[in-house]
Amino acid sequence: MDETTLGQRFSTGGEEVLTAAIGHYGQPLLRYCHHVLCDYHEAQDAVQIAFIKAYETRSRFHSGTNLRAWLYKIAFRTCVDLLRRRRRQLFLPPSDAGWDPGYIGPELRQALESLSPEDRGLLFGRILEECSYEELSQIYGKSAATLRKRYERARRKLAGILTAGQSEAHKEGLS
Amino acid sequence: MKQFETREETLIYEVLSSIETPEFDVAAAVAARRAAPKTNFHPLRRGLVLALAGAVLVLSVGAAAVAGIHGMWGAFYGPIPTNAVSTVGISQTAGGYTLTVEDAIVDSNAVMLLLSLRRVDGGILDPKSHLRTNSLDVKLLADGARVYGSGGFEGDGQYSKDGRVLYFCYEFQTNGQFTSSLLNKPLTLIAEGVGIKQYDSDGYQWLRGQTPVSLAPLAEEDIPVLPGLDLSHDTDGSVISAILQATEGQDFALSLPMADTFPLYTVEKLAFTDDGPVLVFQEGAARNGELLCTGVQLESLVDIRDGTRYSILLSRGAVLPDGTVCSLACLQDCPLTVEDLPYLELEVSYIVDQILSEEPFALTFSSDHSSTLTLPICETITLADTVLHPTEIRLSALGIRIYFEDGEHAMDLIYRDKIAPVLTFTDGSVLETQWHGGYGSSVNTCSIRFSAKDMNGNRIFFDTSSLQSVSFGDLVLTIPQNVT
Repeated sequence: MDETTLGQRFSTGGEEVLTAAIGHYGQPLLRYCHHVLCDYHEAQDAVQIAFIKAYETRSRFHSGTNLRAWLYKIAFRTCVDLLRRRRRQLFLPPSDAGWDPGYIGPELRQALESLSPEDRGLLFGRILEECSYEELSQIYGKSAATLRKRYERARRKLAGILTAGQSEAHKEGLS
Repeated sequence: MKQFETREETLIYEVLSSIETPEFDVAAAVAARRAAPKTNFHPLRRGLVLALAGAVLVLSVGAAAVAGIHGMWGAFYGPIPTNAVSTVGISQTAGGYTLTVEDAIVDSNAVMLLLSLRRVDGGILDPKSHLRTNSLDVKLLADGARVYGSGGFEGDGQYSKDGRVLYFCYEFQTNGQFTSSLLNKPLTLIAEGVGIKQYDSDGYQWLRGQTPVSLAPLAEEDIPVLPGLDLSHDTDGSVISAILQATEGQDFALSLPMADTFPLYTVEKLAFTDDGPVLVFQEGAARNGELLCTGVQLESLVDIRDGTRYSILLSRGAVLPDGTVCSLACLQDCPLTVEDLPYLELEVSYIVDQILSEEPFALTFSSDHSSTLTLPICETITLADTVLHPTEIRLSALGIRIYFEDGEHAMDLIYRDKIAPVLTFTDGSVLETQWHGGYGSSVNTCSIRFSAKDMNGNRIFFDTSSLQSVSFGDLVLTIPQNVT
């Protein structure tokens, strides 16, 4: 089932639309969740939850509109829920982080986590996925103009942190 | 290489595209989760997938049958070797409930428990009853001391046929800081009570307030405008102090949506910065009968003139001069000003439990046996021209852990080269394992966990007594028969 047909049938379809949606968007959504959560295993959880939620509420999707954006919107909300749960997680003492598949190194992770989840999603969407601001506005519920401004600020911030980190590394290499 | 208009984007693209997101069978995982007993997932720190309820996984890799161990293990997992399981049968009654540690699987770094919960009056349990909620938690002690690591429940409780018993499967794994062993120690499971998490109609654990709160009444108040303050970058608390000082004279308490149930939560102060409004709201736990709210989240501001929604970026904790514990919620790049107050509504979420019992349980038990094998490793392995120095391997039905003298670069190499132990059993069957997490520091020892899963992502519990050898990279360890 191609994406156009899927978008038309998703709201009323059966298991076949879920299978098709996962086929088209499963790995990209996993990658998106990975970048928003900065944790691969939580991303695995998030993408499963997101697809199940999307399937169970598929009647709310308006046929012919942007299914991809709708799925990303659900995935983003799911990521935010998981981040809130992570904030309240107990008995994890400050220590070296565990290494896992999809590991993101401490410096990059710190840089990414200096951004809000929405900013991480924006940068991923614009730079890696080349999403339009119109599509992003469907995901985040904000105007394209607001998101453009937000994106530019997040881009400057992350680039500044990454550049500063590279300068330090260069200095260490020289010393 | 993609072309970008700015160097910033080029730099960010190079960095973000270096983040590897391994392939994952989303379809199989979704199918397994949907087929499993319904509800909220309590993920272990590192990604277990729920087993199919009632399904029996056929294992041909040395696992023994489930006969001789509690039948309810089968509600959570496939076959588990009997030699890994200890029958415990320790119970405690508190708050109208009886919690029992039925069975335990204990190895040097992990514990898996089969628990049962009953009502003292013999009544039918609410199927959503749980030992871990937003406010109640479970922890493990070994020899009376707290054990640090991560643990969780395998989904929700599983009913007995008559609905009068809920069974839970709880697993705990120690983290890298724990270098001794859980074996041969009295273990204590502490559960703080019994409760039910409340979810909204969309299945999210934060209850959305029924209707947003209008900020229009605050338009009559004296609201300070504080340019040049950035709460999101307040590293020393000076911005918080400045905002609280500027709003000290304010004396209002704007009730939030669920005020009838939880009147504690109010907006106490309001200021505007270059990023828009900063709302100071009261925090803390609030109780109403069986309902316990552990906190609120200011979600967003909505401009009712055009429906624009502005998300709250973050909240920072603070204490008012009168001792009230509060949080300051702020936005980012929000163009709203004091003049917009009459047109703004505040959306709020609540995190709520229904508390069935607050009487804690503390059950101390020990396992009478374990299937753990611990073998020293005296040889090195070579990966990508790098010599690594493993020191010990620990194998049990719950998984494998290998310790190294090397630091994080060992983990890096092993993960990237996807090197994992391969188990060979006495019947000739072979089981491949996979990376499950590593712990260590840049220069000191590290340990790496591996687990075994079938092609559907379901966990495999292997029988260590049937192991013949373990290969890891170019290293092959033969299991001494007198060790098993």
